[in-house]
Amino acid sequence: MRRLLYYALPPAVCLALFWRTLFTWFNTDDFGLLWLASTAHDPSSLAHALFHPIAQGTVRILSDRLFYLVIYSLFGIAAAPFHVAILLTWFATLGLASAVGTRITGSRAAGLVAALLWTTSKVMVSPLAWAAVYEVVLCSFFALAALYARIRWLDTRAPGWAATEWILYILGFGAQESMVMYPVAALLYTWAVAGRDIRKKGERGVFALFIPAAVFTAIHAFFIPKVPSEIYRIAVDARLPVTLSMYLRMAVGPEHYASRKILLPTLAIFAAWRMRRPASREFGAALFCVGWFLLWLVPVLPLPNHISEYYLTVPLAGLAWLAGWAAMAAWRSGWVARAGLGACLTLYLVNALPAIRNGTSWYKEGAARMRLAFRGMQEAAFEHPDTMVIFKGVDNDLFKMGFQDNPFRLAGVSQGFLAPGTENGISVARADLGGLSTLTISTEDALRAVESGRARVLELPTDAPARDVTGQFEIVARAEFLASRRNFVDAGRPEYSSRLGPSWHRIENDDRWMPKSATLQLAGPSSPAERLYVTGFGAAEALASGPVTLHFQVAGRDVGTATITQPGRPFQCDFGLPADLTGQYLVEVAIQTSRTFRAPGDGRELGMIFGTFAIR
Amino acid sequence: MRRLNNGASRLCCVILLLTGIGGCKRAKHDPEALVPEKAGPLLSAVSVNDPAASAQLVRGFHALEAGSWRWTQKQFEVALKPPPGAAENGARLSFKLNVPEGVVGKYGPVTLTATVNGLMLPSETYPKSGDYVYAQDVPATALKGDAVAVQFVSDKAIPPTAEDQRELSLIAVSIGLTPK
Repeated sequence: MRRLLYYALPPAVCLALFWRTLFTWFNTDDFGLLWLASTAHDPSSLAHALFHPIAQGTVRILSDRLFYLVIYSLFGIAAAPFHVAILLTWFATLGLASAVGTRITGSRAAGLVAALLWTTSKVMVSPLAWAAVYEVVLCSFFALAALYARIRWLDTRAPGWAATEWILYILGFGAQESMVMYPVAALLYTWAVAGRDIRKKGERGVFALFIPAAVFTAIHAFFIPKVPSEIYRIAVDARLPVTLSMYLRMAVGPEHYASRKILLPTLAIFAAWRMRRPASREFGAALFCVGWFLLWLVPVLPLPNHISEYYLTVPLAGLAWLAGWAAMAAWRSGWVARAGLGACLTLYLVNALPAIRNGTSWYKEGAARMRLAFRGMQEAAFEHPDTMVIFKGVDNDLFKMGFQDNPFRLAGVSQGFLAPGTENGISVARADLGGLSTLTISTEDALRAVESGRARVLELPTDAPARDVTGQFEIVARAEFLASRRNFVDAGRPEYSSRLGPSWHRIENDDRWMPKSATLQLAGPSSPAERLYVTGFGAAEALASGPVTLHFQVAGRDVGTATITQPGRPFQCDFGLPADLTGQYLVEVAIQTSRTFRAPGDGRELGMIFGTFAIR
Repeated sequence: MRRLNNGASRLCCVILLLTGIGGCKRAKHDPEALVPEKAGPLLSAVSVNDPAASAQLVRGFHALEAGSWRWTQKQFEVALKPPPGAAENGARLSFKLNVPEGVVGKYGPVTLTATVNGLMLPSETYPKSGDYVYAQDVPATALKGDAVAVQFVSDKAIPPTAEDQRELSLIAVSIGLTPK
């Protein structure tokens, strides 16, 4: 019973703090991985889904690929099964952390406290709330499980434990690339904590662990193509200590966390005190704790542009063991030390617990908005297959939850765009993901897509289902489009109809016939140098009896004539404008033809075919 | 080699079988996920908290706050239906707004300019924080068509910060065209 309680306590505390993660939907990278999973339908596409490098050349077969492939296949686009799997993996990892911590510190209580401190860290928010970083949770599990197997092998020399260590270690490469550091951890434990002479024949086997790490590193470095990206650019320079310092500060608490200045030095002093006698077991144990923290950080230290809290997940076990050990040492050292321990724990928890609540709430609420948007996309795709969707009401918070990760294709939408102008309010687009360019559409293109039935427009309220506003958007976009093109009229397009006088005939083949006379409205010239430009088509029927002369007036003033002579050919003409029309908000253009005709079976009076009018 | 290939094939089959359990995860019809459009013309006057008018808030408006108002960017735009008779008699544009102390206190008096279908209306300047109504006559020539685009430009705003990544200029309550 006590054993059950011992191992159940850290998961229970974790669940009490991170329960929101079970109700958190998908965001950002999840959409890409779900899409990849959804594409596996035959051996070829399955191989692609499992082994094709994505992002910066990562091929995490277990944590990225099979994780999504299997759960998506069983449950579809449902987030809860993913989070259940993540939490179960984490609970097992906490059990391993207690067991390994017990062996390192020699105290079961210290092992338990270490697991409790690890799972009360704000660092764990992203790994537990965001399925796409399952890699760090699974890597923690494999690293600790392999180390536990090594500990048991060192105790028993049973070949089964050695084989178990190797299997878990090799599987760890499917979780995260950082697993290449495991041989160093195993070597350090064997020498520093277990006190074995690693030069002896029976112990030298630990060096064999370096072979898979070297092979994996070589494959990753030389055979997997990588997309150049500033954010993932490797830099081995003077920024390394700065990056390390940032990770150290992030490890003990949230940003602006004053107690960092107390907790980190306290841990450092405890480690130094334990290491004061180099030949002692305590020296080895403290060295291992500090070493574990540092060595798992080594792979991410050369990434100064991608400092992420969740990278601390595996390293943090080292500090947790050290802190658990320090806590128990203080507990056994009298009331003064116990008071100090109480103060340190209070400082830690007073800052960490609200940060966990805020962090998990942020993921839960943000992803809930994304879920509403995604369901709207799915329904739009269901009702209007093969259409694109234009989104209104996208702000920075919603955009960050995945608009750059192409959730559209997963929802069945052919393309997704932000409503024109929305991009001006988005300041969080990542350049390495293409910025806003692929999500931006002009008012004119959006209007054409809606008019032709190729697009639907969805309004995304903050906390309600998406609303279809396609019809209203069309009217609004047309008004906006016209307001931005006041100096231009295309007589052959319906959106300009309100600028044409009443005598024009209907649109035919993207043009319009005018009768004997017609009018239209344009913005006046903005400078005296601007002219009126006209295009049209010299219809053969209109010119059958000879050339036709067109007479143009602007604001009631004659500006010129044009004689159309060539049948079956387009024509264009332009005219200077009176200087005093400059700056006028609106001028009326009047056209008169010298001759009209009536086609057989068509009662209309037909003068000439026109296309566009512009003052520029 | 034959055995290896067979083994690999079997593995593929097992995984495919597993991935095939869910089959193709096509979206199910879920009418509650998308509120259908209610047919209706645009409004001549919009409150920024009216869901029926949200499509008319073309750009530059942030999310609804306290169920009644929205922050705007420096430039924002609304589409309005010209009221009856506006194409002959013109109309009056009214914009109910609040000039926040955080803007005017830090950056000085705020000047607001409106443009209706490209026709610039007179500017108004607000020297102190508080509630105001920007009100100007709009000539009939600018009020043709089913809808008009009304663009506003304010000359002051709180720029985006790390805490709030939005540009914040004015607080908008309602905007409308009324017949003259």
